[in-house]
Amino acid sequence: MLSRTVLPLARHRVLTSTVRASSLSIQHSRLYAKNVKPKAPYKLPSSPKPSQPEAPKVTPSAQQPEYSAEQPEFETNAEPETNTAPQAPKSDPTVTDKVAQKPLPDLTQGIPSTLAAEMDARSKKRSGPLNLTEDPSRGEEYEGDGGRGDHPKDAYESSLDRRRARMANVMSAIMLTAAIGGTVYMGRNWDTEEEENAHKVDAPSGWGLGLFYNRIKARLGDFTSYYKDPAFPKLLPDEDPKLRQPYTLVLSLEDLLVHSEWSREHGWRVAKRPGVDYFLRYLNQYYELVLFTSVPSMMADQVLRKLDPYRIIRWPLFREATRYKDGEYIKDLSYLNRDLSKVILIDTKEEHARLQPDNAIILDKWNGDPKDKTLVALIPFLEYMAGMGVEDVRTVIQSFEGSSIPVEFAKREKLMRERFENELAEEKKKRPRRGGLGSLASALGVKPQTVTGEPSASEGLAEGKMLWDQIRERGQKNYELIEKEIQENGEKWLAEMAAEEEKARQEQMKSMKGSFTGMFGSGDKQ
Amino acid sequence: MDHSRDPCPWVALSDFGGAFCMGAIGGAVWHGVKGFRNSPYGERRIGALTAIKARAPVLGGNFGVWGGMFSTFDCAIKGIRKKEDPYNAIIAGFFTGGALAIRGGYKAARNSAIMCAVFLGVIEGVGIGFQRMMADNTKLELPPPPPSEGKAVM
Repeated sequence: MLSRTVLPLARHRVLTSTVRASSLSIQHSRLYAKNVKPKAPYKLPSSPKPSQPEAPKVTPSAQQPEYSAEQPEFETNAEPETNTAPQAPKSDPTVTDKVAQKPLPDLTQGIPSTLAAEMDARSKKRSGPLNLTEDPSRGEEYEGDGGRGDHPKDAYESSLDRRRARMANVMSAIMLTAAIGGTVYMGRNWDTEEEENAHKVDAPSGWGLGLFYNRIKARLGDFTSYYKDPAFPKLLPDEDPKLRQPYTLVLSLEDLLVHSEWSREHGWRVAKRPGVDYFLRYLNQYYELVLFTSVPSMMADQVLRKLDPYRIIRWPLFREATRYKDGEYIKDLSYLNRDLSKVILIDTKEEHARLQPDNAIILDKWNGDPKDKTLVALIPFLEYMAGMGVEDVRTVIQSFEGSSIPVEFAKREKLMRERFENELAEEKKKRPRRGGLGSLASALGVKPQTVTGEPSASEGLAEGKMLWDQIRERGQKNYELIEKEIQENGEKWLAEMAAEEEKARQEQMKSMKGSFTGMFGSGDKQ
Repeated sequence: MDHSRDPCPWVALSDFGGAFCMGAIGGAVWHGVKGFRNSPYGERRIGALTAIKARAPVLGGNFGVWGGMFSTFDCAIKGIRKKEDPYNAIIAGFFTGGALAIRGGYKAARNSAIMCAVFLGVIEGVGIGFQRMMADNTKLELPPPPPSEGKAVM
């Protein structure tokens, strides 16, 4: 404070005394650098008295810090020149000399480049005359800057580094506390009665490390189940069983009904499996068809539209309906909302059916072979199951375990037929009676799988046909009806569906627009 | 089954190209505006063009290297793990971040790898959350009672 008030006075003296020749060079102390401009002198010193004896007394004070509390220089009437501590006494004049000696550049020819001078200074590792901010007398101290001193670079720790390290410590401490606190919070006792009851068995309330761990696990499980479990507790809507087919056939998509291939020339292409249309249309009369795929709906929906434009597959289910567990998408049939004794799952991956392996028929992947007959060959078995009204499909599927179902089924069918024929022959011997001869070969000719049943069926009597043959006959007729219906009305249906979709889309657009205008409210909506 | 992306060895190539395009186009916009604003009046158009020509391909290249490398790592990890889940992307992001920062030394590579893995983890998490939110739209409903709306129901 003292210095501030006195300073103008002191500066003024400098001005008034510059006329006097002084032995010291005209050096201003840094302390005074801000106050070069003198204010209006309100009090002129009456007589500048040079006090010679005091001068030697002041000079040693150069070693002392500039901002000393006593500030003895202000207590005297000494001239500032004599009073100021000499700074950088030796090298300064030489530097100023050097600058002065250089001829001034001719600026009419353009501004000369300073690059050479800079490069020169850098190569000498010296801050030459270009350096304005550093004190040349302390050049040695600055030189050590780039890690070229006697200390290695990482021995220095800047204040920034220190602050950063401190921040890191604080942050990690906060995170650790938060983690511990969060863990304890997650493992706390159950808050409400119903939570308590829900976890009575696996994670009851109470003290103890194991209980804590169990509660944390249960809470996390509750949280992740939203993402891992099927999106809806009932994947298929409730429906009166009398209004639909009694059995449910759940089909996979990729490599069962279709196969996609990629080539550099054509990109992705999807192929339909041979006989897939026939398979779907024929089995539609016995089964409620469900497509259950682990592909997300965004991707699979487009394929499904192409595959099944008439929507013979009744319910499509996508990845959203699967359960994610151990890195696999599992098709959990218990979420299907259907009687599991009447559900058959056909898939190409065993992991998909991990939860209900008894319901699953696992086929090999179809790799695009155009001569493939697996789907069609499977029809008789599936038709038999539904047509004969099997009580529990799981036991039947289990009995076929380890064998190829079409082959094994044909074998069993043959056995059954032989037995039936023997019985029939015995019966005929007892009382010979002939009915109409039913040659079904023409009716059944379309079906490749009837090859096994054909000879015996054609020679059998109309009433001698097994029940199963009659079912098949009826199925064929039904199929032909459907086929005819589709051929006649298919176009119309498609147009209707397209129109309906268009309408729904526009409705949605409209409602969206409405909600937008409502949200960003122009007043006319109110 | 994901038909929006090519199968594995090729996807690295197409990802590289896609990422390059993204970086180049985004860089053109970004550096165009920047060059325009940082040029004196009268030279703004040429300043913007110069900035685009000088910088947009560089940004595109940076993006492209990132994308191609990520895709390559992703494929490699898929091949090794034989699984398709979000961890593939996270691990691939870890390696990509590490590989791109390896010239900065061990520490820089480690930090960059962790940051990159966290970033991809966040992206995957958001994707899963989004998919779960959209899943509510796929709920199946019974059709209205008269079955004459074009269904091939018997």
